[in-house]
Amino acid sequence: MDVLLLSRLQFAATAAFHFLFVPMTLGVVVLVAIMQTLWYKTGEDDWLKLSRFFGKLFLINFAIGVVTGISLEFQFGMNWARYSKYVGDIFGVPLAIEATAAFFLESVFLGLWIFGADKVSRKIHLISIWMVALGSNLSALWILFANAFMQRPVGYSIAAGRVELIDFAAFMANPYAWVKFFHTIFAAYSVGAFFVMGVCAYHMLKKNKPEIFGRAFKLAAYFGALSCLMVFVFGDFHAKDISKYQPSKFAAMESVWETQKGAAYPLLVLPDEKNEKNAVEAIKLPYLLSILATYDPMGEVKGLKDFAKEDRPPVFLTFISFRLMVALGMLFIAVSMLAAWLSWKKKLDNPLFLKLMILSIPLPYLAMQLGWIVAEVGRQPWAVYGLLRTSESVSANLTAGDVLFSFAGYFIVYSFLGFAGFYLMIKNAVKGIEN
Amino acid sequence: MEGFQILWYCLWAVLWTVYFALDGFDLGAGALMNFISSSDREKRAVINSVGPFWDGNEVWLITAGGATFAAFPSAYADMFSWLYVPLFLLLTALIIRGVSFELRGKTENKKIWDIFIFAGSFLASFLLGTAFGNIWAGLPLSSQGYTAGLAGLLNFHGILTGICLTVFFCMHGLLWLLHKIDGSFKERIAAVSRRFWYAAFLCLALFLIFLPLSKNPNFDRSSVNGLLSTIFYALSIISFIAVKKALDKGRTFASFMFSFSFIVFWSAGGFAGQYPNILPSLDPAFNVSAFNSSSSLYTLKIMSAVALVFVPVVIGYQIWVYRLLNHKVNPQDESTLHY
Repeated sequence: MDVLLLSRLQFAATAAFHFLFVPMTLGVVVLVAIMQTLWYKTGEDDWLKLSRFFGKLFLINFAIGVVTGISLEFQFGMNWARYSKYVGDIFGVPLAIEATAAFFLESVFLGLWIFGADKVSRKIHLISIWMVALGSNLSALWILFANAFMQRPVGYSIAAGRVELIDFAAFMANPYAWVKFFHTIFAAYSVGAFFVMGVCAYHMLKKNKPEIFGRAFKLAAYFGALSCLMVFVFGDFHAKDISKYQPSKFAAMESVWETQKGAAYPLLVLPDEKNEKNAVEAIKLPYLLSILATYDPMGEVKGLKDFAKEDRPPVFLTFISFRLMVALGMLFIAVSMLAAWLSWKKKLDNPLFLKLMILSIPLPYLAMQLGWIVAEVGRQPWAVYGLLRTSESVSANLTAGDVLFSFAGYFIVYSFLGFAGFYLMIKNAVKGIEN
Repeated sequence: MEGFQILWYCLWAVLWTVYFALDGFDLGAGALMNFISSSDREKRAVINSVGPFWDGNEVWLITAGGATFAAFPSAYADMFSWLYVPLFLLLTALIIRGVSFELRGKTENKKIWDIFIFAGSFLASFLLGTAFGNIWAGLPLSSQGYTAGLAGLLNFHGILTGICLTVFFCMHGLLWLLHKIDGSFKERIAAVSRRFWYAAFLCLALFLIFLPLSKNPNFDRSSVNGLLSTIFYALSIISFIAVKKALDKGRTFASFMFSFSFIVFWSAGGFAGQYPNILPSLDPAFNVSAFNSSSSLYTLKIMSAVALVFVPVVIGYQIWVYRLLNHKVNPQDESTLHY
């Protein structure tokens, strides 16, 4: 095992673990804030109980999300020192802004929200949860701007052996970043919505205060249906950006080997990376791939063979993650639409449907992880697309022993945190609203 | 260009200094929680005293990290990759401590979280002190950078500064608890605080006698920043004495604020002394300084605008929230205990 491979595995594992908690933070905090707003506006006790109940689950999740984020910010310097030196002039900017303009907001006001419930006015308490929501959403914005620079670098020039920022306005206008932000944020809202729906469904199934949980279910169902649709819309925009700016990633996502115009979309594909072709390619929908890539039925889709072998990402993993993510995304639209429709018709008493909603809780989490695999594995072999290879990014001074030590340490600590966090979330979720 | 590099060196130092002065009290309270509390309620009182604030305090560290990345990317990369193992231990300590504050109250078995709160707080304080003790004394850098690892940091100056910072934070934490906590627990905290003031006195004396900076070949006592460093250390001594005076008069909040200014001046003394180096080297040829590791002028300008707008806003609402949550915590009064 060498330093590069260990550092990549460690970053992937710690980032993936962190992102088990982030989407729920982003999504559930908005729902909790809406619940508390409804209480503030209507004075109905149900909404207060619901905001406290889901607030508690949110806090358990938040605790692990926030502490596991620390190690990511520092890992850039620790494991990826050459990367940090090469892109720090630009990449450090959104990270520093994220800390200054978003983390403070999130952390300071969360303290106020938890400990100020009976000490400050209802209005200030309500504002504090919205500030937490704003802070966490802003932090997603800045970190995705940082990530977008790795995918589609803009606003820079190369000077003195590094990239330097020359146009902050261009950096901020990067459409790749905005589309990615909305795609990710709505996906996180879907995670939150399915979580709330699933927990509510559990209690409705157990006939445990079903009227109260029914209200939260309805709210989450509308919120979720809208979010899932938006994930799809922005996902489609995002695919067009990828085919334009990261053609090798797009080719791997769809396992396209030959450059073609008017490309059809095969529903069944099995990539054969070794022989640079697809072992299976069946049920072709004419022109669809070109439309997905470019809006134009005759548009050109680049094939993997157009790229030197050392410039191609791992095809199978990128492809299968993308297909699964898209399939799950479609499923979420269907399920959340059904949930919204049944809520509207007041027919939420079907046990089979409620069980389906409980079983659906982990699926958006899975889709989120798959999305990040597409984004980051598909970017390989580049750390910054077209500019800097991952292999040239790793710190020069580390030994395999150093990284093995930290990786083992993270493994032990995070296993414990993951176990404790999910155990406590499930325990408290099952407990329900106390009288 | 030079002006912006100097400005960002100062901002870098300010971020670390504020971090020490703020997170210092919750690290100290965490390190001592198990030893000063005689019941679970008293432990909860300690956690509730720092509970609303520890996370916001720790963001100063994240911001110091982010600002180093943006303003001095090459120093950020060197510092973090050279100090890989100690930094990993520091992060792990902060991770287990933070999560324990939040989750302890939600579980039946408190023991593991109590151990984490102690171990995380103690280790983080000690490692931060050790790292900066070495930085102030100068690192054995070569063309390969720093290669001595964690063991290389555990020299006399490193360990001394590690102990100093840990004891300072403990005193700082006790004074915060003294300000926040009511009831019979308060009396006991007051007694321990006095003892820790004497321990801190001993530490401060040893630190100033063996001053790590005086080992540093780059340090020039007669230069402007050398003079500034001496002034800051003098102010830290005055603040330190004021802590005791206020404590004796029973002015608990004033004694905490003097402890705050003590830590501010003490770390400012170090940062002024190491100027303009972020990683001072025993062989000055390998100094990593604000001048040879910074971002481009354009980036520094953008970041200055960001800092100018956001840092005052952050300080403003952080103070506002501290004031909103200025209630006392009493182990005998369940309504004051959230966690």
